[in-house]
Amino acid sequence: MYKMQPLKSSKKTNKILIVALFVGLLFHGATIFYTLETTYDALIHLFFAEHYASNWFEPWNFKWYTGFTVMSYPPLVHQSIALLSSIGGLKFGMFTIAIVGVILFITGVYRFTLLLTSNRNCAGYAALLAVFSSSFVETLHIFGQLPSIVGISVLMHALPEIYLWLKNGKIKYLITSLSLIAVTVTSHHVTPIFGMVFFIFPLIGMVIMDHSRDRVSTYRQITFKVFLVSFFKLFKRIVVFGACSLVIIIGCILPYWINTKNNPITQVPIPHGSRDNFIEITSSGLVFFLIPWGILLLILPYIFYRYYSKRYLFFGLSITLLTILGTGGTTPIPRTILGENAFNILTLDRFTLWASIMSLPMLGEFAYRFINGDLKELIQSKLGAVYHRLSGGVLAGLIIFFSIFTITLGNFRPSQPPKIKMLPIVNFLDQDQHHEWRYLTLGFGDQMAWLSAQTNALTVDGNYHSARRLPELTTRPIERLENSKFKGVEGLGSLQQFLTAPEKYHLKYIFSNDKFYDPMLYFSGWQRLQQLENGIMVWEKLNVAPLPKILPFQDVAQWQKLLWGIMPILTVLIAFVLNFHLLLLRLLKYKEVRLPDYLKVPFTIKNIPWSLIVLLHIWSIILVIISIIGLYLLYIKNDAHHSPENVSIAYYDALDFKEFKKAHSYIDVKSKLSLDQYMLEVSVSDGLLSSYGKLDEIDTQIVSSTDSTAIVQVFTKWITPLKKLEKATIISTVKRDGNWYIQLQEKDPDLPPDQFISVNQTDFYNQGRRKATVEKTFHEDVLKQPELQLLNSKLVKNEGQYYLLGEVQNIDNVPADVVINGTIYDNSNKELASYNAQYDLKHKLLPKEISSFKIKFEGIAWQNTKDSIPSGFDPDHYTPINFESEPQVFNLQAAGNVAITDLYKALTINELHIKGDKLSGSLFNAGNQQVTVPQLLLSYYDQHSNLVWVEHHFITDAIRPQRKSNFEIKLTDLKELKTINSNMSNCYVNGLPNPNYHTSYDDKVEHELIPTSNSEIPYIKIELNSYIGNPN
Amino acid sequence: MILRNSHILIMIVTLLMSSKEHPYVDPTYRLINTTTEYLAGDNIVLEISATTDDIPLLKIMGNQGIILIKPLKNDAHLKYPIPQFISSEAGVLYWKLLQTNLEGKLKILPKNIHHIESYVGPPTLEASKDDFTMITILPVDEFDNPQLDNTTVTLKNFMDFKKEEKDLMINNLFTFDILNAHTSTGKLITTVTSGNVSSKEHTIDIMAGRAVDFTLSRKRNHPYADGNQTLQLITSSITDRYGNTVSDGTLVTFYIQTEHGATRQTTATTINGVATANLLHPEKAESWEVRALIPNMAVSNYMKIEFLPAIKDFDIQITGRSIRVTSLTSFLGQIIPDGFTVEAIIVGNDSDHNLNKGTLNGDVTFYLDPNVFEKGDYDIKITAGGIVKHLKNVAIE
Repeated sequence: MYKMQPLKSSKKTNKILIVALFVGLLFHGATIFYTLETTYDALIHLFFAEHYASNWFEPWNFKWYTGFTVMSYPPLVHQSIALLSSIGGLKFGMFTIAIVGVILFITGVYRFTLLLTSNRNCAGYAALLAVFSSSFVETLHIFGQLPSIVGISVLMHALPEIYLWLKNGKIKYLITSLSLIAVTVTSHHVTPIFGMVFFIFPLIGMVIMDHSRDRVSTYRQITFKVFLVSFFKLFKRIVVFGACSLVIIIGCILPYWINTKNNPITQVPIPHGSRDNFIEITSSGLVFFLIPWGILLLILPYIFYRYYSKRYLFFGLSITLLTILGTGGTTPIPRTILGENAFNILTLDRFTLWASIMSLPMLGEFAYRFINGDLKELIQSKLGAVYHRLSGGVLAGLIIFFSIFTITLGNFRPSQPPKIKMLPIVNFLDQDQHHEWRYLTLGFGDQMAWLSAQTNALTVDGNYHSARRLPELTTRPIERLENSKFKGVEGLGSLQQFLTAPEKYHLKYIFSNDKFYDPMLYFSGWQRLQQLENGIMVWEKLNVAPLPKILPFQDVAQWQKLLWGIMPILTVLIAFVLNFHLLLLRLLKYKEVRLPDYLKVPFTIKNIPWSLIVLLHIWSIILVIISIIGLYLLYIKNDAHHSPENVSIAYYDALDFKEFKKAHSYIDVKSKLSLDQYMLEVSVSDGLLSSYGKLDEIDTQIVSSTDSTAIVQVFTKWITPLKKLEKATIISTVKRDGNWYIQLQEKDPDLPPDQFISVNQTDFYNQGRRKATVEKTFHEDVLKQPELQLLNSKLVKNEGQYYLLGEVQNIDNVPADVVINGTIYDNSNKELASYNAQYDLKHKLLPKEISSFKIKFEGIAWQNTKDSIPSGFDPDHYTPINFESEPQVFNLQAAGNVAITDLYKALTINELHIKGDKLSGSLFNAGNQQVTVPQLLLSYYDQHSNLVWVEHHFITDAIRPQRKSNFEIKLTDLKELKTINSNMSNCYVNGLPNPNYHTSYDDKVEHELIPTSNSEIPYIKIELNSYIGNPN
Repeated sequence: MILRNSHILIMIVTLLMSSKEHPYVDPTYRLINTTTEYLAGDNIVLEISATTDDIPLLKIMGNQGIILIKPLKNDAHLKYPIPQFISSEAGVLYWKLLQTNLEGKLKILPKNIHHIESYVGPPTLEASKDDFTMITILPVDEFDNPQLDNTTVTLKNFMDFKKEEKDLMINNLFTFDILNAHTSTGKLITTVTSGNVSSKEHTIDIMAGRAVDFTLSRKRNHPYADGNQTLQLITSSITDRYGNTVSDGTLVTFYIQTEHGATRQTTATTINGVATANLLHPEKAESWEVRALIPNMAVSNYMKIEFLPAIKDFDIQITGRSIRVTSLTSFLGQIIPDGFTVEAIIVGNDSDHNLNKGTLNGDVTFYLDPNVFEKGDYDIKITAGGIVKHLKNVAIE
């Protein structure tokens, strides 16, 4: 048996703890200023704090998601930041709370370890190592989960008090423990609930063990019977504690529970990395498994060995469960244990966090025994002092490596876009009543929360997905609109609905920090307003009404507001008062403190068996081998020249990440293509694919190969803002000196006709308000809405879907921005769906210009949104909608507003051939702007020149001035097309009946259509629309 | 006049109070004021002599609703000052002394015209004889009170360097007039005056009406189909039926039908009525029929354009797996500009490949990749500039 160093009097200050606090504050205090603001969550908490700072007792927040209640998250941390913000601002509050969290965590680990090991040296080491614990570093510096940190830290402080209550039944300890649980629950609701299961239950088990131990002379003598007797003796205390904490957990944040019950989370679950298979998705494995465990992985056998000793048996079971749950989707076990539903809602990384925190006491014990105790003696005697020192060095090195690696992870793999200066945006929103509309940010990352905290303007988006309310958001597994491109077609599908019908949400301004979304905005009818001085592009939509002065909100009872506003801070005050005396005593040591019961546990433990040392070594070797194999596989996968497939994939990857130098290194060395020439060729390529495409999937197949050449068919799937593109490209590869290279296809040698051209065009300008005044726009400054005429329109059904289509003409003398909204009704005039024309319309029309349009009724347009929740969203495939009645009648509302931008009309159809159902031709750009994304609006007509169908096609390559680009389109088969109604009696323009401008003239109406040889589609019409990415 | 919160409060309180039933008492009260007509903004105090010590409230009903007024007691007279916000409002004011049957009415007349409110809409018209806009005129005094009926204002218009004047009488507090469009485009400037008070300037833009048919012309540098020259299609100055040039930016669409059945299409916007479209020359000799139109409004004549062949002949050399098409020269014998399309159709036993390539220095080489084209005999058809050359059963090793 090994007897640890005798307990020192608690009169003596624990120097290691002091060092731990000192180092911890220095390390974390210095680094949070560089990391916290770029974490995932910190700015969200800052936003909540801002809410409390300006509206302490009002739980409704209008700024996100068309309004949500802050009662959906425990308020303590937010309210504390809000209180501190009155001293030095919100960020001061946030950093202060983070530092408080660090102190609480270190001291919490100390007390937890002291409770478990009854040894102040072990506790000191645990506290010191906790400072560098990679899971803590990750939670604070990468995730920024302040409430979670405060919650778990306070829970650790509560554990000794709970122990004391259970052990000796003094009411004093019951009260102190409950006061700390109250603080825990008001800072983070999940922590005490799961903490109950994973920390407090094992603790109760340990108390019963200790109680049993007091009745027998050794742990060995504790039989199940002895245990059971102790259990019944302590049963009353356990029940009292359990019942009281249940009351505390429910009572302290009662409004939260009421809100959860009233607004149950009925959303489609959002994918989270912690549910991935960590072996398949190595990045998730790194972030959610490898980093949180860190150095602990090495001594895992020791931790399990210790926790499966009799006294800690229940902790052993708990940590096993936590470890397994933390593996996410790697094994099917977590899914089986939690059930499908809970598995998809919970983020499983917290289990790993708790497992790693639970391991810290044993890490402390291990460190103490390794540095000063029997482990040191054993190793030195069996393996020599040098080996002991060396292994100590390796372990220390690994600890430092993991902390530094974790803390700087945000630098290596930025999770956020670079910091955006918010002031210009805040000023923009404050100026000229721009805050009277909602706004949306794109590509801001979590910084959107910081913008929301600084402005009074409202956004349709938000950053706390549990509070989402709009069905457009909850039916899609996306957390934010602003990063929807990372969620693939589902994200973009959701974003599209907001962009197409922004009137519904009073959404007028979009701040874009990511040009990826630009084509989508343009083709949905948005226009660029200005670029702010921080480089953010402001997009604007015309014809959107400002927000009403009174917005709807869900009110809650007064008592709930008071409870919510008072209780959290009150729990802190009570906990502080109750524990203050003891705290002071522990700090200043002015009086001898009676040893707490848990320190009286005789601390003699078994000597470390030699077999455990051997096991630790074998385990380490296994880990090293796994790492080496992993690295080797990574190397093979990434060695681009290894095979024809590898080089093709590597080439596309390089192009996708715009690493052109790297891409050039995969090109056949004998093609004599210099890097300069290649970069030049790349720099002039533009278009939907090369400028806005994001490679989603890539697959290769060797079509044919010889020893030194191979033809590879590369199937690529691209996410572009406008459509999902699938391409099958044939690539020739060649082997040179054992390495595979790509042979590029020859470039089109076409020369533009002229070196220098001049273009005359009409430009337009709209003054807006002619006087700089904050008054509403003067009557005479309001431009007349341009007159439009709906030339024809009809409701059609094609392949089970309903569409409204028609043609609209700008009959005014000024350019018009056109918005067309269609609503369909059944026979009894019950409204079924309402939506706007999106891509199938030229949104900007010059005087007398015509555009065909088509409104497709997407899922969310339907009144009953529940029917529209898709199982898997595909933008090109509609959700089959079950509805009681068929659409029969329609209403069209066209609105014109004076447009002054995006009026480029210089695209020309250079040659068009129609053979059967194949439409081929080339486009020629006769103007002076580079058309980044050309769009073809294709209308089909019957033999009587009646419009029957409209569709759009995007051309993936840009067209530079004076250059050509070929296209090929397959005409749609319209066999299933059925016209349901072409009665135009419910068509309105600018709120007035559709004018009959043309019929009021007797002149012959002229309409030019292109005849085809196809009898199904005798005539077509092509209209061109150009998106110019970089106007100059 | 803006209702302040305190006013609303007074009204509510007084309404509540007035709803209480009071026992009817009838002491002798007598109105002292003799005038019943005031000008807006006058200081109005209703003086009432009373013989009892009771102090009744005065109820006033006017445009702003009902309010109760407490009197200032002075000697035997009760003085009821009418608040400014009521006395500055023109109209009839009814009053009643509560708990008595003493009641009456006052007439408050507007003061002289202080400014003229006027509105015009729509602000743009089409040059024609039947389009019109309307001006609505509301002369008001300094308290925003409209003027009495039959007050006269003068409407003044300026268009085509001519001034017009017209007197209008106020009827039912305002007056209006219809302003007809002219058949010429320009600005119709209008204003309203009364004495030395004037409204602001209103501008109505009269814009060109529906375009009428026009003619087409063309401009090109040479007639050869080399695919590398732009051709300009120019409309005549497009006007409406009164000869007004259509608005700048009016879109004109040009349709071209080629003799081979292909279609070309382009658009251009007008500047001073003229739209100029640019098109690329074709790559083979053909004739075009061009027509431009403003959809549903106006069309041009048909214009025919002929293109002469640019290349006369080319050579084909086959070496191994390379097919080289060479000696592509243009109308002066110069090398055809880069990018001239050469098409190769290669038909094997069970394969059919269509290759397209642009020339570089008058040359094109098609390489038949062994991974695509197996050994065997192929029919090769080369087309460039409308010239077709056919090679049958070419053996490819």
